[in-house]
Amino acid sequence: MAQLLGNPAAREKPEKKEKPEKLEKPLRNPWGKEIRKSWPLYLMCLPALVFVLIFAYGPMAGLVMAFQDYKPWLGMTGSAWIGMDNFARIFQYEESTQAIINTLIIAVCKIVIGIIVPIFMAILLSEIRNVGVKKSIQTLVYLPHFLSWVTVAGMMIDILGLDGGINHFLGSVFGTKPIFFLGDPELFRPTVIISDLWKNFGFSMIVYLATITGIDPSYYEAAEIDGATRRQQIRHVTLPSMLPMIIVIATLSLGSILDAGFDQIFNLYNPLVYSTGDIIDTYVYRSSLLNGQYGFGTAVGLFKSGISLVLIVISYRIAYKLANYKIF
Amino acid sequence: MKRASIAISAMILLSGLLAGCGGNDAKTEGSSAAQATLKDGKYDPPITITIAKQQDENAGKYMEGESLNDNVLTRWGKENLGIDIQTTLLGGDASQYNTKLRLALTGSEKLPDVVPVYDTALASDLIQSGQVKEIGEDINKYMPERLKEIYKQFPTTFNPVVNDGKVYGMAIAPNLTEGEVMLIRQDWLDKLSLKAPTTIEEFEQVIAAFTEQDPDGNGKPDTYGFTFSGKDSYNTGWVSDPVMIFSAYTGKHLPGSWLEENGTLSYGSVAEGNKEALAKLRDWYTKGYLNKELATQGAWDALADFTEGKAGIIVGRPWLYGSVKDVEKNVDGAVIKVYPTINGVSGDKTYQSGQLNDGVFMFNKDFSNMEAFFLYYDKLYDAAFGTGDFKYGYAQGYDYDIVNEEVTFDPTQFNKPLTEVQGVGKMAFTKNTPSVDGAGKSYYDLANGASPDNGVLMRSNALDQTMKEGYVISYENSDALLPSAFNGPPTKTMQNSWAQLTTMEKEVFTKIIYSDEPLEAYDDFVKQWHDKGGEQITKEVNEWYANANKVDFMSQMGLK
Repeated sequence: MAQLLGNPAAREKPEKKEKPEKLEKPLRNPWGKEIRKSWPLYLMCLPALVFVLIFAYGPMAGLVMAFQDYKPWLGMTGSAWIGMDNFARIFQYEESTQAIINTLIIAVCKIVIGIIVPIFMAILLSEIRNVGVKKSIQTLVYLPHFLSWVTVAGMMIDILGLDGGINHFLGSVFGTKPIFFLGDPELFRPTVIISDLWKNFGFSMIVYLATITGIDPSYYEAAEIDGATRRQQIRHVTLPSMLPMIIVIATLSLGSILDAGFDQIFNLYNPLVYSTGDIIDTYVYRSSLLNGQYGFGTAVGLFKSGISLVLIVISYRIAYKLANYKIF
Repeated sequence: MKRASIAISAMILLSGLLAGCGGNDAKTEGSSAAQATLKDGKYDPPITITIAKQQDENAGKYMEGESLNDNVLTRWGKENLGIDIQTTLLGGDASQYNTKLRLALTGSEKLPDVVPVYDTALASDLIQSGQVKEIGEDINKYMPERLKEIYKQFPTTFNPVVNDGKVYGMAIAPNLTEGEVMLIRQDWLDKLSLKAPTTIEEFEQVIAAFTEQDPDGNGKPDTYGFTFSGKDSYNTGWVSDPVMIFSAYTGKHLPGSWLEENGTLSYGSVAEGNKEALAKLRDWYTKGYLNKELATQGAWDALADFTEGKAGIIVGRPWLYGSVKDVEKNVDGAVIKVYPTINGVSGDKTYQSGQLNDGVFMFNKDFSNMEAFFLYYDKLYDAAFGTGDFKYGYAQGYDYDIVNEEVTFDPTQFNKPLTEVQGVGKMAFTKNTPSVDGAGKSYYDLANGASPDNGVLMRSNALDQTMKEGYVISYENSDALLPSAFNGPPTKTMQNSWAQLTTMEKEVFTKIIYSDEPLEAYDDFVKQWHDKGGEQITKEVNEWYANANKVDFMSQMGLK
């Protein structure tokens, strides 16, 4: 996919073709012929289209609940309209605004570090010549992705505890006092971000590795003939060739700017670190323990989607302006 | 050829997709069969009662060849009572089950005849939707006398299902669940020549000695006094909580719980005395007497230190012994003994949160066979009373067996050995088998010389001695168990602000104990609690209580 998208020639072709066709027969219905010619293909699309309509667009009607005091037995038509009250609740207290700030900080750090480190690792790995070593490293760093956060959090609570392995190590080597990683508000965010990185960078790396493998070897050959060192080759061949993929990943991950990782935080946090560790999702989870708050839940979801949409649009524009690159 | 196969496969996909969206309109047959009559305790022709069921991990196991709607209990009901129980709404865990009930509220699923509801907000929604039946009169008319005697004891369990003086449901098998006891390392007490603590001062001496005087004799300062969890709640009510310390200063006001005094309800975490309790815990934490990681450990994790022989005291319900007794195997000479919780500073005993029921029964407004329901429900109680068909248990070979004329409850000793006993009592409409054992009555009776001649007593008698002692203590102190007086649906302001307030509460309590905040932060918390919605909530909770109790529904139902 990267190759296809990254190749400028492939993108320009259809535009050139379309224009003359339109000029030749502007008023005839182009659909009739097209459908007659390739109706099986359209038919193949139909299930997917119906699927999207039913399961993605249909439920969107439920968004009206965000503006209602929704009661199931009254339905969406009968429930009382309450305007923006549900949204106001998101910002009602300092604790909830704090949760939004925490979410942003944790998510942004996760996204930035989660892009840089895998790229770095992918380049390093691709430079390894021994295939056996390369593959085994790849597999090893890739495995934690498949552990559930419940399991990882259980291990972390043990390892990072005051009597845990890390503190034992630090204590015996550096003689430091035990550090309460999960109970110190200042250390909680770094702990969360680093553990998330540990768990997921191997998985994110795969895409970049694939991109590197797909780079045309003749570029490297040309660079070598011109006398470029390995480092220069990385700087001037590998990185620019990866850029389209990096932009795609970065743009798409902005969509999750308000997802700081419910599973992870929920399993790791505790009252001592609410001030820096409580995120929107955990906050809403605790609120919705008093069940049946459909309107509020929908409002939070809509709020998050709205922010993500705005950010994606902006970053898409920036990517187009700066890198002259279009994803869609 | 190729095109045709593409077309066909697309159509198949599409039809599969659409079939999934179809409603389940086929199964709407009424359950009230035509004029079934009750003859000699049996319906003829047989009638069907449809039920909703939340199937937890223990209830979903059946013998080979048996299933949800065809098992030893449903067959028994059909043969003996002429009542066929059909589960038509099934949910796995609590949230899935509640979602299904909510769907039933919108009308997209049919509400079964009998609906156990485990969520107060949902119960209140069901009442408001007008889809559930008012049952006050039916209780008066059809509830068998021995069940009436049970419900008479627990009038507060009706509060969540009373609206404008009308009763829309009843507690599922109400029974005062056993209370918490104190588990202590007796060998440590003996080694340091200490006695089990009965007051807060003695308690402090003991945990100080457990921390400082090397009770395990390994020459290392690796032990401490008291382990509990502060991650989710300071009042779990079942295991690893410090509620005893709070109650020592606050009396009947328990953290996280509502107390009724002279008709007025108040919230425990903001009552007098909490500050003193927090000061004590803070002092103990600083001195190292407590679990260092209590903030990050959940209730279940906090008991690990006890099991590993690092902590000397833990509080929990008597069965906790079963979960921590490994320490007696792991550590040479370790002995656990159970004691009652300590007394408060005023000399009065310390109190705990009590639990009366898990959920309520509600009934479809069109259900007309309340008499049949009560007939069946009463029979299920036979196992609790040790009478009738279910003297030893529900079904021989399922939850008990008779081997060589001896009754056994050990599934591996059955004539046809099983790996686990079958929870037959959970196969009809109750999630838990009904019990009338009040906080541990059978153990008390056994300790006072009752001979184990029915299923309940025999089962109790088969437990570990330490656990049995725990239950006896629990029963003797059952007046220390205070169910929260507020058991209704979340009030309007609660829906908006409760998460806020509990977040603040947990944060402040924990930070005070960890000395991350000064003790005075508590006063600030109390003020903020009231300002940020607590005051309004207290008002609303009291309105709810007054409304629930404005009519003497207990007399109307003949339960007085």
